Amino acid sequence: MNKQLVLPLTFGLMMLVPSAVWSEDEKFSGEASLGALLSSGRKDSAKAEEFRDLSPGATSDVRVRYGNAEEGDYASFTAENASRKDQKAELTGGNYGNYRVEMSYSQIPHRYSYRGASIYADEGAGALSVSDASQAQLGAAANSADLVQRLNQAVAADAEDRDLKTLRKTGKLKFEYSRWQPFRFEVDLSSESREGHRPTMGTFGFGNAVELFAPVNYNTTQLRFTGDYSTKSLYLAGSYYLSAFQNEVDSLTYENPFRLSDSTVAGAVSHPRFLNGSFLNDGAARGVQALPPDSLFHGGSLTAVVRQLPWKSQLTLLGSLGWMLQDNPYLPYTSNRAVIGTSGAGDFLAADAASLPAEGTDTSVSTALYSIGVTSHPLSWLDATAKYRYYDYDNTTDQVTFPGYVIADAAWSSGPITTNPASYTKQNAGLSLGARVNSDTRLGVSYGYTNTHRENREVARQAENVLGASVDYRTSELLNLRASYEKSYRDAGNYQFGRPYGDGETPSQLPLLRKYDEASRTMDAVRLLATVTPNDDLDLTASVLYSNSNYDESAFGLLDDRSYQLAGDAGYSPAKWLSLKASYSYEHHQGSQAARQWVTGSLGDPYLVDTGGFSTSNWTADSEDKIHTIGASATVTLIAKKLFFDLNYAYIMADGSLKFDSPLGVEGEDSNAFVPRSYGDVDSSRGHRVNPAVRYRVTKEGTISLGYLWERYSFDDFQQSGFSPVPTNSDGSFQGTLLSGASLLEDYEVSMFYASYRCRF
Amino acid sequence: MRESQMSAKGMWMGGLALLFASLLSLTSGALADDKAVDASQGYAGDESCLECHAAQALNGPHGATTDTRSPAGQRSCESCHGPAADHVKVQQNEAESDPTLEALRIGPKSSVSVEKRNAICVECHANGGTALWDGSVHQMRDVSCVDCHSPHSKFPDYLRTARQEELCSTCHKDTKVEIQRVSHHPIREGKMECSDCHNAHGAVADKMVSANTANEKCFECHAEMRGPFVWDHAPVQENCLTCHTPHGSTHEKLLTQKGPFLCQSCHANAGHPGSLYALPNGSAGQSPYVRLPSMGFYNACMNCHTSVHGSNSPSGKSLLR
Repeated sequence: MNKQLVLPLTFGLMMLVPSAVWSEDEKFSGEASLGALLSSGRKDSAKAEEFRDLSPGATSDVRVRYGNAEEGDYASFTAENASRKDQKAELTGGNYGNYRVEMSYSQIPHRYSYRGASIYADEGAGALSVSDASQAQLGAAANSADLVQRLNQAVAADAEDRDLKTLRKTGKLKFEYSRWQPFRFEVDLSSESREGHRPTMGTFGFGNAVELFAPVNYNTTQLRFTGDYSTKSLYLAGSYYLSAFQNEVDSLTYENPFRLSDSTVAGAVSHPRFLNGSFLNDGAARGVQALPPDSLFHGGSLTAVVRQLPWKSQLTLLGSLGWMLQDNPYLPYTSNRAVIGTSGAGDFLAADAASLPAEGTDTSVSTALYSIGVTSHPLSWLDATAKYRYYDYDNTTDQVTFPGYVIADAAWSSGPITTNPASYTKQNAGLSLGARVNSDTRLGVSYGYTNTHRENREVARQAENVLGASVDYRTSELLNLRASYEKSYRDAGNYQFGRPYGDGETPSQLPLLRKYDEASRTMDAVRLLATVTPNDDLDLTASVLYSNSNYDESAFGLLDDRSYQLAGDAGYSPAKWLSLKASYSYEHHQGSQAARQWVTGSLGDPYLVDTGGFSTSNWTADSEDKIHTIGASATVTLIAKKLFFDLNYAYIMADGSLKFDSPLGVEGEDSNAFVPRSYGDVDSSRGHRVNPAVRYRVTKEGTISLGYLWERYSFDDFQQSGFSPVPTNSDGSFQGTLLSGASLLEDYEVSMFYASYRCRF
Repeated sequence: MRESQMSAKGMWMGGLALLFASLLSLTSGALADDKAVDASQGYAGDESCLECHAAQALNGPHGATTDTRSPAGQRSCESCHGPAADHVKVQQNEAESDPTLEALRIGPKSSVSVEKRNAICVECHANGGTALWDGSVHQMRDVSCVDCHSPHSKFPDYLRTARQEELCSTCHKDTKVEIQRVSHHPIREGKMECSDCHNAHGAVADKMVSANTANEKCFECHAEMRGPFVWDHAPVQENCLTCHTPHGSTHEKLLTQKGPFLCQSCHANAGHPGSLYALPNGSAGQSPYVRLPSMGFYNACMNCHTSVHGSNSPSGKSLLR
């Protein structure tokens, strides 16, 4: 039997259960629908089915409810998209005031690509191979143009479309016991598996990259136990949480298309390339990447809320401790058995995991959160809230010093290099006052302070002060107005650009660059929302959002970030049979950043010549995004209690641009002098969605629905336009990458007809 | 220094445990039953109410007569709306004015103050997910419970709309449009809802995120990013939102900016992006695949730095492995 029919038939039979089975106090009701879906265009692009299943076939939803008023028992079952890839089902039951059980199962598909055409074959267990014939052909290339031709031949001969997707299956069980009031206990257990493949990339050295597909075989188990005690004056809660993540595949191994056997030379990291008529293709026969490791997080928290204190005050205390643990066997430095590592103790085979300074990764983080808050209403018109929050992310992992490492499986790079486990502590304190000026108006002012202390990052101490003000005005009928303004000042203090680098390592970073999450910043943010309801038939909403972040002390990096949004909604119901809604939003985002083109030893090298902030190799980029979003809907009752028409429409238009600028250098004096390219159309997307539907009530219990969904998305991205699996330079030479196209955004146009019969019982 | 921090943590937790025990003993008297109500206070009974307001009959846990803590288990309609005997008399033409009518109205357009309306709900709902309501952003901004909920609603959790995002976007206009973007969490597909990440009734984290931090929330579904890795990308461990915007983006993978520009907000290393934006001879009018080196097109920096969230490989220092 077609499995798509199992659930609908099962619940169809349930509907036939005679009502006489149930006593007077018992109620059994629900609804079930059976339908069909026809679609076209869903495989135009993976985006069309990114998180859903639009395949033609049967559709069914079921909702069943049971209640016993005398005993207080209840149960319900819900199933949506039964037997489809995006199905979910939930069974709930319990006795009011005593206990409740929830069980659910859901599937979420995530599709990445239909047409990632890869020359790699999946050998299983995270191993990707290229045919020996292709490897031999490519390794024998006579020159760059010949290599391009051979690569294209390999793609034509070997590349198969890869259906890259994952499916997330989640089962949950929740049990709540509340009979022993004022105590309540709750257990939440979930088990999730994610299986499939996702696109990724790999490299065998500088200037080359191949597109791959990585196996996803994850299992995550989560358990939370909560117990609480609640009275009018006191609330106490304790909980324990555990999350265990397991990846069945710990590494991705992928063969090097350009060579069959391992080798290494000093310059292998810049291979493959041609020099003096020779094809230099030294490096590994296969590359190895570490995939997400198994890990465990567990922790507990205690919460106390004390109420009915003087001045109608409430005290809230929270303490939470957590531990993140990860201990997996180390992969070797490389799979390349030709690479010899060097250390003070002598040379060693870098592919031998025994040569590593430790067997396992043994990383650990402990987290701690302490929070205390007091809210008080000392006067009938005055509220006050004071809060303090301390969060500590303490990476307790021991530092590990490696004698060096293997760059892209190609060549040994001597060290030593030492890991820098980063920790941070964030403390927030805040005070808010709210004053009710009159029955309609409330004014608020607030002050917040955040202190961040970091280890092994550029900024050890960072302080931020935030001032805020708000007005909330709401009349019972006409107007609802909300406005707020925030101004913040963040001081990065002493920015030590070389701090994350180990002793003896030369920073390759621009000294005057400031990472924007650590940089000094001033920020303004305004939010305004006004809803006007002239009468019961009409409501209008206008919204303005504005934010402006300036990184005034940053010479390089992100310099500023500005955005605003203007939005309006309208709802109009001129008659009982007609309801109309419309919305429009315009967003404008701008950002500026600065950087420098430089290579070690060039005139732009700040370590060779102290250029300060100026160099003719500097560049600035101004990005701009404009986004329009339109929505409209109509609900029309064509025949009272019989025939209904719904229409939904959505449109989004997004355009991005990028303008570069650079001071012009004098040829010969600054080897990096260049004229940067601006892109008037960095990326743009257009999305339409139209969804008309008709519902006809055949009987009091039965309804027929007919609908049509038309959806079209188009994309234009400057990083993807002109895509070729084997990109070339302007002279036709090999550009360095072999792509499958699995990460391409492709246009799609989906049409979908659906019909269903819904029956209530 | 870390040892001293650990001992400080121990003192914190010990102190909290002692405080909890003390508070428990002090407040045990609050268990006494305080719901005794004088029948002469003007209650009409739910049968009177339902004569005219049958459509507002309670359902679900609020309508459970067997649960003495539910409205139906107490004074039914009048548990929340207050005594209605005078109102019934007016409706039955037994009295001329209706002084109690405004007091009985506690919906979104009621003239009863938000505090008074919320106090009715908070009387019972001040535990579990609603324990931190007082002092929350929504409480401080005069949001009333009935702005979002109606005890008479047939939607889950007594919400006023069938789907949460429809309700929340009434005020959160920026989120409303973000979830329509090409890169988004599966909210509009109905696979996620706002309360999967936020607790609208109060939380200890910013933005009402229902976890200790935004990262801990993200790791609930994306545990593969949790690590801790041998080679961390420090901003990742501090805040996923440094690079990602959770509700939707015009850039793939919910990034706040596309690569390489996002990466260049923090990195300007030697050789990266050397010659990234230069125009080689003869490349004018060509596609980016001709104009740009591999760090510029396609996945940009992530063409090589694939382990951008952290790496466990001993050769993963530059997040290439």
